[in-house]
Amino acid sequence: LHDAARNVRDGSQFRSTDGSVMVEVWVDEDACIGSRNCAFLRPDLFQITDEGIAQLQAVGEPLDGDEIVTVARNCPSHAINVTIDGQHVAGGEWMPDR
Amino acid sequence: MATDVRELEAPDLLAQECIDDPYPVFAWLRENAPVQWNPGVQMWTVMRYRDVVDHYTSKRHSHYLPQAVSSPAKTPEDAAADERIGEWIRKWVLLKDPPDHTRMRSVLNKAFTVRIVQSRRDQFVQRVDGLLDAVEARDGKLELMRDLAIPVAYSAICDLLGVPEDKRDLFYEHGEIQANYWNGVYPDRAKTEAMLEESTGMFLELLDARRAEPKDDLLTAMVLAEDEGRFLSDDEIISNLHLLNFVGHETTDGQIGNSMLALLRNPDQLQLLRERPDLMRSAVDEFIRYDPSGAWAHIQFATEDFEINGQQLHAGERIAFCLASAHRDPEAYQNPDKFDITRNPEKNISFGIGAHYCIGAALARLELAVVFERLLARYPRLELAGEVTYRPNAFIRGPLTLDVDLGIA
Repeated sequence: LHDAARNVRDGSQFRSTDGSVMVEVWVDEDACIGSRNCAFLRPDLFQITDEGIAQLQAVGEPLDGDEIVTVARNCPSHAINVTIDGQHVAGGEWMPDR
Repeated sequence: MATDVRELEAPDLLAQECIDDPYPVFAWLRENAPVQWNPGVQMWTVMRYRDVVDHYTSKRHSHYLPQAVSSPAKTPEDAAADERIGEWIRKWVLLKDPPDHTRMRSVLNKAFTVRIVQSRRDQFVQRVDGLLDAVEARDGKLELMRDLAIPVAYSAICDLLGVPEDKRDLFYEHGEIQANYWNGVYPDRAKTEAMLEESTGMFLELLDARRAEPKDDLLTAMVLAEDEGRFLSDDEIISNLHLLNFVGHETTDGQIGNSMLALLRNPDQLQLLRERPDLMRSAVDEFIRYDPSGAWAHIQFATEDFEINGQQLHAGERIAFCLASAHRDPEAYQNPDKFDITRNPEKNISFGIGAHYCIGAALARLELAVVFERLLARYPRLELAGEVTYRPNAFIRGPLTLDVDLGIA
């Protein structure tokens, strides 16, 4: 359990721009506890697979960095990772809340 | 001029008839007094879906230290007992805010991820079948709570934590005393204190055992967290073991009971689920919408004065968000009183919202799915046998006993 391999899948990554910054978002499927908070807050961005895990959907328009950070910080298992201009701002093992 | 809802009489939420069927009372409150001070339980009750969603995660209130929620202390002796009991649970992750909450939760979350939980599916199937085999070998009469719901739920939390077989009966008994103290109508303070002491002794022994010999369980993950830079003190571990025992208790088994009842009272939906096993996932969501065991969210208290839907709340007052009522709000759901396993589950908030979202949600969903998969697969005819009685607990609602005719006797 404590050794459970962490497995971030490339397939669930995508990039989008918000003004001049680069926003990168991915879901760590092995950290997801299936809370569906993300799909509750942004059903247009996240869906829940049959397995019960959050999955990022393809986004057609530029993504608002602040908004996605809010969604990510509402994830009870910190499974939604966000980087802005390469800086990790949400998600991961233990990110102190800011 | 709007009626001051304080002038409307508040219902007795702890009356057994209200516990047996609270939905008419919830409907009346939703319509007439959606946010109301209830002097009986000394809480604001918030009944509408929109108000619950908008305010539940607000920073203007915090988690109430749950001292005998249903029965606030009336004597100095009871108040002193509550104070002492509170010392045991001050480190509950449920009551914490960041950064402590984040640190503690990051250790616990790992045991409850969808994939870790799903990896136990076969084990659940075997357990459910074993329990049903035992019922058939005995007399073929299923008392759902005693024979299936309770053993399934508490063995799941015991497996996950790593509670050894010979301690499980004690663990269950402790969970029952705790659940009764926090939410029951008749809390027993002396019994609760003795139980916390005994339980703490048991947990300390288990932690020592895991330090000496690590295993693949949550107890080990908690004692080893330090090595991974997410230190949990022994006090924190013990406190959260008490918490996991309490929250893994009466919630899931109550929900198994409530769900069984919903299916038995709605034979068309039971038949539909037989014909369409692919609907199990949305059926589970409908179980927890239609009749959630967690009828009320964890009690909060206002940290400042603020308004909900025109009512003025004051700092220090307790607030109860009624999830069971929110899920029957016609503003949120069409035909909310209809049990319909084909509903879109998107708006379900039975497990909460945000950072404090129920850690055991995936576990509970799996237990529910497996229990009903096996019951439906094994028995072509299931019927309610006799009257249903409810536990004297308004906040975590579930049957005390539920007799089911398996059609085999």
